Amino acid sequence: MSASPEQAPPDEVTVAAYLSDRLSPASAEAFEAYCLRHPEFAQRVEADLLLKVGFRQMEGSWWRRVGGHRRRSVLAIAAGLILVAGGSLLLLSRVHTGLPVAYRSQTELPASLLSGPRVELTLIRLRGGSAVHRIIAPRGAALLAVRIAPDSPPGPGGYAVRVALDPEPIPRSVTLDKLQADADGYLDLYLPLSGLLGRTFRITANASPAAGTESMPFRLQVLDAQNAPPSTP
Amino acid sequence: MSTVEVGVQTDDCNSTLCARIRVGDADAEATLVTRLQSGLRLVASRAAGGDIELSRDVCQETLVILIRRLRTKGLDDPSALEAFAAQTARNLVIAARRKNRRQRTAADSDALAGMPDPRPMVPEEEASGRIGVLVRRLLLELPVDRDRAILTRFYLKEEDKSVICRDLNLTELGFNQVIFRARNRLRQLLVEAGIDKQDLLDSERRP
Repeated sequence: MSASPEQAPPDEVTVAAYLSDRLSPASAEAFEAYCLRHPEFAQRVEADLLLKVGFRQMEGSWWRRVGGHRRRSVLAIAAGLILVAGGSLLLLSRVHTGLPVAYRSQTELPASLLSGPRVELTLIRLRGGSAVHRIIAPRGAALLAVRIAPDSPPGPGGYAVRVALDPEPIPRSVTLDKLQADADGYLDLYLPLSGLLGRTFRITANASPAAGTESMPFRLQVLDAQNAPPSTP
Repeated sequence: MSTVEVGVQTDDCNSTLCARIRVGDADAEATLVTRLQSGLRLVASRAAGGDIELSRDVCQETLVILIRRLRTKGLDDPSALEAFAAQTARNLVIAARRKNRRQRTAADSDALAGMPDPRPMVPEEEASGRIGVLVRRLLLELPVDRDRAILTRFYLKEEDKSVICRDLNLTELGFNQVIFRARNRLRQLLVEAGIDKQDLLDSERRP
């Protein structure tokens, strides 16, 4: 410890040692006594502590979201499939037009989609890559609710999210422009499963208007539980 | 980190502050909270082994105890205000941990699972990782990759500042500016996310 409570403030090495819990108990208590008498200094140390905690949480949450061999995969999906229990079996009534459909908020959803079972999915990219991630939709699910952590900062118009069927000789896609991230930095969109079941599609989130290179897409395939092939270990 | 001396509090200041709180000066209570809360959170965080949520609860509870004490009995030695606050925080952490251990031993997990939780519905992972979410947002907002690299190497990998400056061809001033901006932005995000709000005084002032 390089400072007593009324002497010069602790130096950077001491602050780093305190934050890494490398000071002796007596030195740490002396450091804390200094902080209690110097609130602005304490605020800076606390901000450093929270940044360290935040980085660890961020890294930890990423690693918790992917398991085993997938940790080395080029793309990882942090996914939680939550089946909203109850509700009657819905007939997928939307006429299949060949074009994917996407809604930017729950308020835009037709009543039939709003009230029925849904699949919820959170997409966070760890590293670049193009692997297709397969999702098994529970019986009766008619809606895919997607939360996306964008790779890049927003543009002046927020984000543009494109949903495109893949592969298609004729590009068929829908784009939601001027989407704003929520308080946690995620974008929400809602996709009716009627036009997506059994097909592979890409979701791409870019700054709006576009600036520089496009983000890598998330590639997904949604299968219904009845037609899903048996899972392989 | 800058090493500028700021806000030295004297024993006289403590005596005056304690006396003002004793006669019901609410502004003095607010001053006390502003002065001590960051330091108390650091004390509690270390005592709690880095448990940020617990440290925030303990800080609030410590300040409540301290204010009640100063309103009524006062302190025999106001110069020991900070030491009294720090020891109270450490004791509260010890008590909280004992309580947790007892609850873990005696808990009927089936019965608990069936009990409704009166708190707002917040997914556990989201609640425990809120600061991580904010740091992620902070990183996304940074305009250049170099700044992201500086913060990651300094806070996550705990690399030495001089090594980072040398590798990235940075001056100490440039490094400090990045850190300074990151600290300030995180504070803003904490306030915006409602994590740094102060509800202690409001609850204490209610009759």
